Order: sequence, then C-alpha cells, then structure tokens
Amino acid sequence: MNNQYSIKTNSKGRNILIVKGILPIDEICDIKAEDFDVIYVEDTNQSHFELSYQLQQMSPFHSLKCHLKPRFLSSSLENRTLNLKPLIDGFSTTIDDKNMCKKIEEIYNRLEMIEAFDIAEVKNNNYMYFLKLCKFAISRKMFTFTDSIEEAYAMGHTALYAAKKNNIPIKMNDDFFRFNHVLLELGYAKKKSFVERLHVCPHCMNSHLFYMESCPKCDSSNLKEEAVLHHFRCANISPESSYTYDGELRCPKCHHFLRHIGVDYDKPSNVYTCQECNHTFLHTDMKVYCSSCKKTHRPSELLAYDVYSYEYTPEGLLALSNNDAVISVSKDIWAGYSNFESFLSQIRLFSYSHEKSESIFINKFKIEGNDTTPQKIMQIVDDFQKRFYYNNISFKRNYIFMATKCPSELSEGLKRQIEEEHEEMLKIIELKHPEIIITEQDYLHQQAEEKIQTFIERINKTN
Amino acid sequence: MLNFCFDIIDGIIACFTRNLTWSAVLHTYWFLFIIEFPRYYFLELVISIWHQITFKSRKRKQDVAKMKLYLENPLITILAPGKNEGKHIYKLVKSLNEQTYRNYEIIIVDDGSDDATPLICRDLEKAGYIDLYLRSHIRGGKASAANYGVHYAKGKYIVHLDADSSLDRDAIEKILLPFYYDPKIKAVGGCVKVRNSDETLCTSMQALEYLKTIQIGRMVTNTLGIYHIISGAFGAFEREKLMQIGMWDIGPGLDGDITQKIRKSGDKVYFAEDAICMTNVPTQWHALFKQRQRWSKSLIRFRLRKHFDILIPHKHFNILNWISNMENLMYDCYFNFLWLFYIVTLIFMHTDRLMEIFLVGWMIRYCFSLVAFGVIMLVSERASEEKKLVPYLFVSTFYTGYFLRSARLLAHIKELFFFSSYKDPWNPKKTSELAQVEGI
Repeated sequence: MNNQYSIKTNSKGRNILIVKGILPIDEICDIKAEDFDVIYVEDTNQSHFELSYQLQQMSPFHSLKCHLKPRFLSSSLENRTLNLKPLIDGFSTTIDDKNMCKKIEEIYNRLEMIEAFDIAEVKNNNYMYFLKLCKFAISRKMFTFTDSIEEAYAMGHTALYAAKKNNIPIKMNDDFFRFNHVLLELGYAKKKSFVERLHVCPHCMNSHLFYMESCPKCDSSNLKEEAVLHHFRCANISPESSYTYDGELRCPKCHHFLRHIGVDYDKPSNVYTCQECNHTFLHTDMKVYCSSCKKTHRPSELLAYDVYSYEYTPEGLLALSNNDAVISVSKDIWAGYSNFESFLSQIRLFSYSHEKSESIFINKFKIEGNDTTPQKIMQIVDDFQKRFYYNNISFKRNYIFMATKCPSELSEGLKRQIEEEHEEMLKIIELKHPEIIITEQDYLHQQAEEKIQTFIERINKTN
Repeated sequence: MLNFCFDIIDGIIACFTRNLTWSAVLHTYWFLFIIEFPRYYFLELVISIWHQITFKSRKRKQDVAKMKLYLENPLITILAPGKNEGKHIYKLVKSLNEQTYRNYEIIIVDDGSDDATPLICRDLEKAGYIDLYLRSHIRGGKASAANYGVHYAKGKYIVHLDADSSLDRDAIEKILLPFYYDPKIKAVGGCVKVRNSDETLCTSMQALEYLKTIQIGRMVTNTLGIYHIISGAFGAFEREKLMQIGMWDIGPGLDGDITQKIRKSGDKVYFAEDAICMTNVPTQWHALFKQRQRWSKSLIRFRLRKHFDILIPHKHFNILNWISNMENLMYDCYFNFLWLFYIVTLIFMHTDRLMEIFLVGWMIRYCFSLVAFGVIMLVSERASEEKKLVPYLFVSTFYTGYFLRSARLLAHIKELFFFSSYKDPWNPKKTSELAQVEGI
C-alpha cells in the first residue's frame, strides 16, 4: 500500500499526502487525519473514471480525514477532471510550487476562522450534504452560488455547486430546492439575480421530460407527416404518395406528369396522419412524458420554476461557518414557525410536490381584544406551538394560521378530532390570556378538488 | 320642363286611349312578350301552381326519404373552403351546431389566408367546433381548396358551403333528402337567399333577384329536368361521385362546371328549394357589377367552350342536357345580344315617342313583377318576412332589365373575344395560365 502514497513536507512546513493511483484514505488506518495537511494526486496514467473515484474518496463530503483540507492535482490531470473541478483547489507540477503553497496558506487562514465541523451533531440532518457544501464553499471564498443546468439532477440544475454524490446522479427531488428556500427564509442567503425559468413535472418536480408530438384525437405519437401537392392544371390537391407513379410524379386526377415545382405544381402544406386512429391534422399536439414518474402531461400543465443565483448574507456566512446553522437548518420545513409569505409558499409547494391524495387542513384563529400587539400575538403563537398539533404555524396581523397535512381519506376524521382538541386547548390559552378573545375557522383543501390558489385566497380572506 | 312632363303624360294617355292596340303593343314590346314572358313569368306561374298542387305527394316522398336518411344516418362532411374567412367561421359553426341532422364533420380549408384566419381556425379546432382545419400556405384557388378538403373528407356526402353563409336549422337534412328520392341523384343544390337584404338598395335588389332566379327559377328548371347550376354557396355531393368526376376544376364558375360534369356522367342533379342557406351579398354596385361579370364569363368559358360537346350529337348525347345548356346559353347570352339589338332598333324607330315607350314598358314589366312576386309568395317558406321587398319592385325593371343585362353583355364580349376570365385575379395566375393553355 505504501507505494500508493507518501507524505512529504513542503517549503512552508505543511505535510502533503501524495496519492499515486487509487487510495481509499479513510479506510487506511496507517493514515491519520493529523498526519497530513494537504492532499496531492500524482499523475499515474489514471483513467477519467479512476480519477473521479479517487476524488470522491477524498471529497469534503465523504472523507472525514480529508474534510476541508486543501487538495491539489498534478497539472497533467487537468483535462481529466471535467465536472469535478469544484472539488479541487488547484493544479501544480510539483508540491513545492509557489502558487500552490500560497493557496494552501490562504485556505488554512480561512479555515482558522471556521469552526470545526462536527459530523456527529448533524447525523440526522437531511441537509447535511448541503451544509457540507456550504462550508466547503465558504472555506474557498465562494460566496455566491448559481444553480446551473446539470443533467444529473432531478430538477435539471445543481444545488449550490456542481458536485455529484458518489458519482451517482442525484435524484433528491426538491430537497435542495427546499434547502435554498430554508437558507432564504433564515436570512442566510439572498437572491442575487434571475438565471432562467425551468419547467418541471407537476407530479414529481422532475425536469427530465420528453416532449413528444401527438395526435390531437387519440394522443398517439405514431404519426406520419406528408407533403400535399397541388397540381395547377386540374386543381387537384392530395398527399404526395397519391402522385407517386413508377418513381415519377403523376396526377391521380388528370394523369399528367408533374415535372417542375412552381410551374406544374407546388407543395402548399404538410399534413399529419395518425397511424393509430387515421385522424388527419395540420398541427400536432404536444405531450410531455416525465422520465421519473412515467406520467404524461400537457405542456400547459408543467410547473414553471425560476432558477436564481444566490449570495450568502453576512449572517449566513457567520452561521454556516460555525455549528449554529446546523440546528436551525436541520428543522423540517413543515415543522415550525414561518413568516406568512413563506407559510403560503410552503402550502403552494406542498400542493405541487405531493400526491393528489393528500389534503391540507388549516385552522385560522382570530385574536381580538384590547392587547393585540405583534409581541402579544407572538406570545400566543408560542403557546399554540406548545399545545397544538400542527405541521406549520404562522401569523398575519391578528390572525394565527396552523397548517396540518394528512391523507385525503382521513381529512374529515382529523378535522373532527382537531376540533374537539382545540376546544379544550383554547380554553386553557384564554385562561392564560384573559384579555383576548379567540375565534376559530377551519379550511380544508382537497388537492383533487380545488386549485391551491383558490384555497389560498379563501384562507387569506378577512372576515 | 313642365311642358315636357305634360307632353309625356299626354303621350301615355294617348297611348292607352287611342294608339293602344294589341298588335301595336306586341309590335313594340315583342322582346318582353315573346322572349321574356313565356320563360320568366308564364312558365314560372304554371310550375309554381303545379308545385302547390303536388304538395301532398312531394310531402309523402319527403317523409319516406327522411325515414331512409335517419335509418342510414350517414356521416356527412361539411366543407367550407375560402381565403381570409376567419371572421365568418364561428358564425358558420354556430349555425351548424343548431342543425337537426347531427352526424357530420366540419372541414375548413384555408386557401393561403393572410389575416387571423389560421389563429381563429386553430382555436376552433382545438375547442372541437371544427373537426379538421387544413391550410395551404400558398394560395391555390377555390377549386384546389375544395379538392384538398374532399381528399380528407370521410363523409358519404359532402356539403359544400361558402364560409360566410349560414343555414336554416333543417337545411342539411333537407339537402340530403333528394339523395333518397332516386339513387341516380348524385348532387343536390340548396336554395340561397340574401341575409343582408336590409343593408342597401343594392342588397335589397339582390334579395329580390335571388328569390326569383334561385328559389323560383331553379325550381322551374329542376321540375323540367334541366337544372344546371348547383350553387357554390350551398350544394351537396355524393363523395364517391365527386372523386369519380375528378372533383372541381379551375374556376371562376366552378359550381356550374361541376354540375355539368355530373350531368354529363349520366347522373342526375336536383334542386332542394326548401333547404335554405343565407349569404351576404355585395353592398356596393361596383362590387356587384364585378361579381356578375365574373359569373357571366363562366357561361362562355364552360358551357360554350369546355362543355360544347353537350350541344352536338354524339354517343352519349342527352336531350335534357342539350336543352339545359341551350336554355342557359340562349337566355343568358344570345338574348342579351338580341336585347341590345332590340333596344337600338327601338331607339331609332321610335325616337319621338321614346319616353312614352319606356314608361309604358316599365308599367307592363311592373305588372309582370307583381305577378312574379305573387309566385314567390306562393312558394317561399318565409313569405311574410319577404313581403317587405314589395316596394323594390318599382325599380326591379332597371336592376334586372338594364343593370344586370349590361354586366352580362360586357362580360360575354370580354370573354368571347379576350378570354378575360383567365386573367381574373379571383384565381391565382399560375393556375389560370395553365388552364388557358389546356383550354379548360
């Protein structure tokens, strides 16, 4: 194994782990994290696949030993890294290269400002992968991130930075979309600029869609397109095949030969014929087949999704640089308090991305009385959070909203159960806050029956 | 001036009191009494009375045909070819939606429209109002557009409509019934009436004319078995027959041409006077004059040139076809020239009494028009509404006697000597040029 790596010290006194070939660094007990400060991969005529595998082995997301340490590659490997470049700090011919040494010191200077990343704290965190990405990016002074087109991602663009997990296409649906949303909501990032508008499957939010021409009548894609020929002399118009005669064009009506386009005949149109139902038409319909959920939609049914570039805010940089962000970000978006705009966008998102068999149940509480200041309402929201069962809670003016999602077939039962429980709970809250009066209204949204926008308008309506 | 008027009145009085003898009247108005009266007044009156007498037997025949039609319930294709007709299509499909006969498909053929027609038709197709929208990006002419539609038609019968027309609720049913009277009937013409009759004097006059020449005139020719023109605005054809005769040839005047082709093939054509189609007619005199010239040119081009063989004895000679063509050529062409001769001789022979002669002539014609209008009232299905046209009978002599005759005369001269129908922009140049070379 020793011939696959060596550790050398550079002119600045940094220990450099020189990797020759494929080396699973985390699995080799002889190599300890404190034994090296930098990783350097030498060119041993590795194939692109071998190089990718090695880079995954030492990636900041999977390797505990390498973690955020600087990583460099031999200059001759530059054209073999392709889309893994974001995981590499640079290329050099030797380990004593001046630029490389300078960059190593810069990275270490930054790493000193960032607290150690304790993986144990976030082991149950759905967004661990993204948090690592953020931390790696910040350590490399990448303060903005743009979602760019990437075929490996379900939604058609990358989350934060171009990087693949184990070189396997990431199909995490809207996880990173939610992560971006959480970063925005927490104020850790802000939208920098609009990048592009994508259209995704309304059922599974996947952008890997196939656009197919189809018959307007039977929806089949088995179509035949044929030019229509107009014979000037006798005004006959019929498909080109009806004119074909022994390799020449001959009019089926007057039997004259058609010799010269523009003089004897022209092609005024093209006609499609469906090979399944024999329907003829000029304009095909378009259908969209989702490669992920295997469902077919009309183009008008696709969801438009705007892709933005983001930028970390100072608060975000601070929180993501230490473990503060870990706890906050690890919250499930459907479990906690959100401001009202986020609350509404989450309801919209829920409608787009969940099964049509699910329902949203919303309780709207009107707070009336002498003291209905925002501070007071926040206190009441706190009390609600402790006592009520809900998925998300928010408030607007003197209204508190609590959202609960459930399967449609259980919605009526859940509604009754919640009503009973609320009666008791509201008495307790009113006892604690005698100066206020709380009135309640219920709203049930069955996905199959109502458009989400109509539902939002309904709950937003003040009485 | 006043004296001149009194002289005329005196002349008329004198004409009626002293000079008016039967022989003198016949001598002066021979054209009216010998040429026009037997064909346009007497024959129409007799046949209309006959029509009323045979009402019950026709009704029984219709009932049987109706039963047969609904038993078979064939799919029919409603075909509306046209250019820049988008604005009329919705009204047309709405009127079709009201039809009593329901088993139909609608095909709209757009002959290279350069307005919003493609957008309108695509929307209507998507909304299911029309079954098939076909479009030629390059204009090919009315015949090619109609042929394009026929090629993709699935119906047993094809009802050809102008896009700016609309139908009575039972018009489709009524136009299909004759196919069940006799299996030899392969094409049926509908009765076209004027929708915008109230718009101008020009349209009111045309409303009167359509009633007389289409509803009554074609009923007469149909009864005599010499019906020779299935109007392009509303006609039904058996699809198989249409394909067999090669559908429509290059126009203008393709409706008359296709009727001739069917007659020549040995099959029958029929006029359904109760299958009513309403259409908009030109509102301006100059537009009407142009339209009539176009129509009249086709008489020379098709009946005299293309289908001249009907007039000469040959293997498939048919006396009814001969009479049909002859009647058309004589009354619409030859007698126009004769009329010109008559007017010229009248002017030269009676220069001193010209005003009296014209006034008396007008009075006689007016009396005849009243009789003809009575015939219309006898036959028309909406007689009470058409009564409002009575005042226009005063000027109908000038309209049919002078205006239309002049248009026809001019068109015939142009076509006979200059082949001007081949230069008509109604048809694209590329097709007209070839048609002229081929002599069709």
